[in-house]
Amino acid sequence: MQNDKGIKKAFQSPYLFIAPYATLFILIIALPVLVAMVLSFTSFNTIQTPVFVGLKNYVDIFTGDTVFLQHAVSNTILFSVIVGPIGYMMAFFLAWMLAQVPHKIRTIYAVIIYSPSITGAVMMAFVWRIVFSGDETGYMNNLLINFFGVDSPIQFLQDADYLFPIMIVVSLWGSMGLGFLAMLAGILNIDRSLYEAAAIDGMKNRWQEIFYITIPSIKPQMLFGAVMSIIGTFNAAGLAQALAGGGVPPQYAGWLIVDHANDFGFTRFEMGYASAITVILLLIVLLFNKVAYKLFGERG
Amino acid sequence: MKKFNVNRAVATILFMSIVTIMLISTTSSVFASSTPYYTYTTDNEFGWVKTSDAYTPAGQILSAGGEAFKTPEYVYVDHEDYVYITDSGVSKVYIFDKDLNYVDTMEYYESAIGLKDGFQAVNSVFVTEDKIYIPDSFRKCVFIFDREKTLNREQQYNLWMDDVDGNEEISSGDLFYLSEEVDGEQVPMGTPVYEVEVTGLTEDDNKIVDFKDYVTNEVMFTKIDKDEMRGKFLSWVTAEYESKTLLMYTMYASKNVPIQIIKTPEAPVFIEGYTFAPKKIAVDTRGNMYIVGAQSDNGLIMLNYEGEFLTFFGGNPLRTPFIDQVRSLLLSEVQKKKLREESQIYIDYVSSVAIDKKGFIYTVTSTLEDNVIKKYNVSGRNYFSNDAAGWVGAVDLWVGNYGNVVVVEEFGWINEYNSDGQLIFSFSVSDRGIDREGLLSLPKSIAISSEDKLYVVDQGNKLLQVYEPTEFANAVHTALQAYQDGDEALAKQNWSYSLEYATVFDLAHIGLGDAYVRQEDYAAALREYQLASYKVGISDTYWQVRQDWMEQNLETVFTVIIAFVVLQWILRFVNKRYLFTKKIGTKIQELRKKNSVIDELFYIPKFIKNPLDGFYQIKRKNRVSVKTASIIYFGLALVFVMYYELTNVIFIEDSNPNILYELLILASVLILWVVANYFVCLINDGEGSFKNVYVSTAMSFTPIFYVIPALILLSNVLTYQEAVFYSVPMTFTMIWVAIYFFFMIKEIHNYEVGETMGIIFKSMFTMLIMGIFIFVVYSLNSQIFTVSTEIAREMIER
Repeated sequence: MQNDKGIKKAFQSPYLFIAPYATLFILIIALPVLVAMVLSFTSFNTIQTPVFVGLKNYVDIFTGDTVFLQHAVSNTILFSVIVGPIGYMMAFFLAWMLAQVPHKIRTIYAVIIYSPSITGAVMMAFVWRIVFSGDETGYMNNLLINFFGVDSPIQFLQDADYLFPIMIVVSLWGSMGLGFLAMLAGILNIDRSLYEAAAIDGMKNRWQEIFYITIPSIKPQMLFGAVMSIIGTFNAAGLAQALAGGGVPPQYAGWLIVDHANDFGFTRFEMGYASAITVILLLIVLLFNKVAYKLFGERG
Repeated sequence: MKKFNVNRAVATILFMSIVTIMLISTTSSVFASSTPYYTYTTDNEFGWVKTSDAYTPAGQILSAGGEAFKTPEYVYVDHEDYVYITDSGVSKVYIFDKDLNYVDTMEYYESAIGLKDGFQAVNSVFVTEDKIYIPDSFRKCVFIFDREKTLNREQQYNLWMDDVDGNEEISSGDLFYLSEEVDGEQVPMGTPVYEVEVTGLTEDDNKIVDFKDYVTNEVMFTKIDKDEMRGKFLSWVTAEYESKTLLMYTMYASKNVPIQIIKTPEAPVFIEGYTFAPKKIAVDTRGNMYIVGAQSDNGLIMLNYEGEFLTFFGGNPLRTPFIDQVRSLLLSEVQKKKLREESQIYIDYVSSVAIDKKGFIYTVTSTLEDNVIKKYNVSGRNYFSNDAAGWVGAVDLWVGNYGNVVVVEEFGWINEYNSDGQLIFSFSVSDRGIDREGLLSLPKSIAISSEDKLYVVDQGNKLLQVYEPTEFANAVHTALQAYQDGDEALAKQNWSYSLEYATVFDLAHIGLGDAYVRQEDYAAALREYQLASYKVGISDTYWQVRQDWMEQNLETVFTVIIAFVVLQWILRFVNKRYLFTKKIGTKIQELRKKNSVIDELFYIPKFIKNPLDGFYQIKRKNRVSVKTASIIYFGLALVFVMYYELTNVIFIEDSNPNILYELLILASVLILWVVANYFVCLINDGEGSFKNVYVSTAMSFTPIFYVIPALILLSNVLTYQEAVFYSVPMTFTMIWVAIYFFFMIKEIHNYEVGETMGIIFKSMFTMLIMGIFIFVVYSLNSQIFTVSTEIAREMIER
């Protein structure tokens, strides 16, 4: 009897209750992150046993790695500060517009708009390389030469000054991914009666609808979208190389932190150093997420 | 006692400022100048500043071989310092040696057969190590002469003939004596030196005469009678010598005969009628010619060494009027063609060309205002700074021995640039009607000798003016060369020396900085760059300095950060027990209750969090007083001054602004805004009072206090590489303020979004009108003032 009670109590324990989730979480998310953090204090070449080196990787990053300090960090922050918010606003705007469209057509539109996110960065780069091709057969150059009196084709993808803006345009085009779908679902779930009630109370126009009903109602989805866009832009990689045609882009234009980590991790196989870079990236993302929660999170 | 102190402080400040003003005025104004012109250079702080003389006049040439210049056109100095001056008035090229002694005159007449191929308009000359190129735009060709032959051309001389067989004309067996000049007359000398033999006849029956050595009987040279020498029948000069009658023969100077004549190339474009009228020319080491042609729309004509057309090169872009560009988008082909014929498209023809040792082609265009000088590589890319100061009228240029470029301008300015296009010296030798040595009336061409002397052709006064470099200029040149050669110590020494002549000389500081960078002394380089406000340099060297510091102090930095975190943690812990924050909070509450201004200032954070609520509070509850708003405006002014004073120079556009002036502009714009917005809203059903507008405008600027001061401090440890950390928060703050501003208008006057937009535009328009009105009143006011003083003087004096 006593024992029975003990078992019953054990089954009622909240720890058991969260155990399935906790196991999965630890295995799939917490452990890899932890391993990366531990690896960042070692020198590891994927073959030999990692050697503990203390803070050396971090010290090297902040004192010796000019490419990281001069290009990767600046580029990543500029990239995410531009692509993140603008892509986010575009996602909301598109979702809101789609919500106004009848059901069947909406599905088709949603698939079309979502397709850039499915095709992936490299595929996108190939499409855009035709547009910004460096000879006069490129659409952009052709347009400039024929209609705007530019006298020679511009090397869009080989010029460091052009490559980064083009990369931003391409990313914006493909950035309304998950966030867009979530917001669309959120908007469609808003109770219609809210709008009707507001109309009776004297709602004047669509702007007021958006600001007083739509946005407050989909705040959780907005938060999700914001977090996704921040993580998405910080995790972006490989676009500049794909646009410029492989290798390191000219003058490290558009060279992002993840590019740098990939370079060290999978080209030079310095896993310890690459881990240190990703840990720094993690800290930056956490910082920005904190800001996003402050702005969009529920109060209290 | 206190009052006394204040007085003394004021007096000290006054005294100090007077002393500084005097110092500034003495350092920048007076230079002992022996030359009839001033030399200038550019400076980041004072702009266009006078500096020590770089070149001083050192003689003129007015004539060549007794012949005065008629229309001197062009000057060239070759690698052995022979000076060539072309004179288009007489179609001749005069040659001088390096001491400017007359050597020879190059002439080339139409040949006897009547071919029209002589010099007609010798526009210029270019000399390589073995060839002399003379373009002639009237003849539409380029004459190429052998340099050695031209320089060592046989001059005219005399020989005496002993007519042995007595047939009174030259025949085999006649003997020749050398001639010497005694008292201005030619007399024979010594024993016979040549015996002649007539070897045959030319086509026009002239004798071909071999001159053989009298002793060895070896053929020395051959001359053609009458064509290359003239004797008895034409001159009739005889002399008695050793009881023989000798006849004087004149041996003609050998003629200048071109070894090659480049005519209009046979490429289709020229057959179709493209003008080939060479005026100036530059030749690279492979013999490719870059020709400046009159009416050459496409730029330089590039020919290979055989004269075959290769390509057009380095043309200036067409200046099509903007309206025509717009029109051409809309017109049909036929209309476009018509437009093309009627439109006043102005083509900027290249004025002159030069080439340096590395093969860069330099052009100068007299009709351009910007990008006057261009430095092209083989593929036609321009490497000369786009900001290089230049003037309309620059006619000729020369690349000096250190990659320095000198340009002469028709109105008298001579500018010297370094190889990147940074202005080193500039001086105007325009005579303005004064006749002094060194001043010119119409300079046309310039060249530099190996000793850095400047040769300038003055077509107006018909002379060649020579300028000598001063010690100062020499130091600069040596430093440029030393830096190129990698001898930083010498470069540094010379730059420092040049700074003794010119206290304000950015180029020297940049040069010193570059030398320090090569020696990896970044801190010293940073100091020099800062003196010159050379932003890219400051950024790069600061990066290095900071990196070195980081390497040495990274441990300390980590420790400080960790200590800080720990301290914060401890504080929080302690706070829980002793409630510091609550005590401070109550203190502040007390203070806020006592003084309304402090209370209102502490309201700012709350306002920033809930701006819409804040505007409501301001409008309905009078939450913020005028006094507080004024304090905020004052704070804004402080931040503004701080921005100009404390921000890292590399992030400020204008590194030496007049802060008071900027502040005045900002203040007047704000005042105009408040007034204009109030009046516009008054007649547009706006609800806000004047006080509301004044206060809420101030409040909507408050986010600035949160970001900008911190950003200004942060900017001092940033470089261009981390500009993102400066520019992104800056932009965000501006957007933030703009949004608050928008809602301020909307809420205070209770408008819709669309109405608010309209009101903003209307207010801006009103501001413009008011600005213009004030300007008109101001200018009228000064008129009125002058008129009334005039009238007053009339009254008094009558």
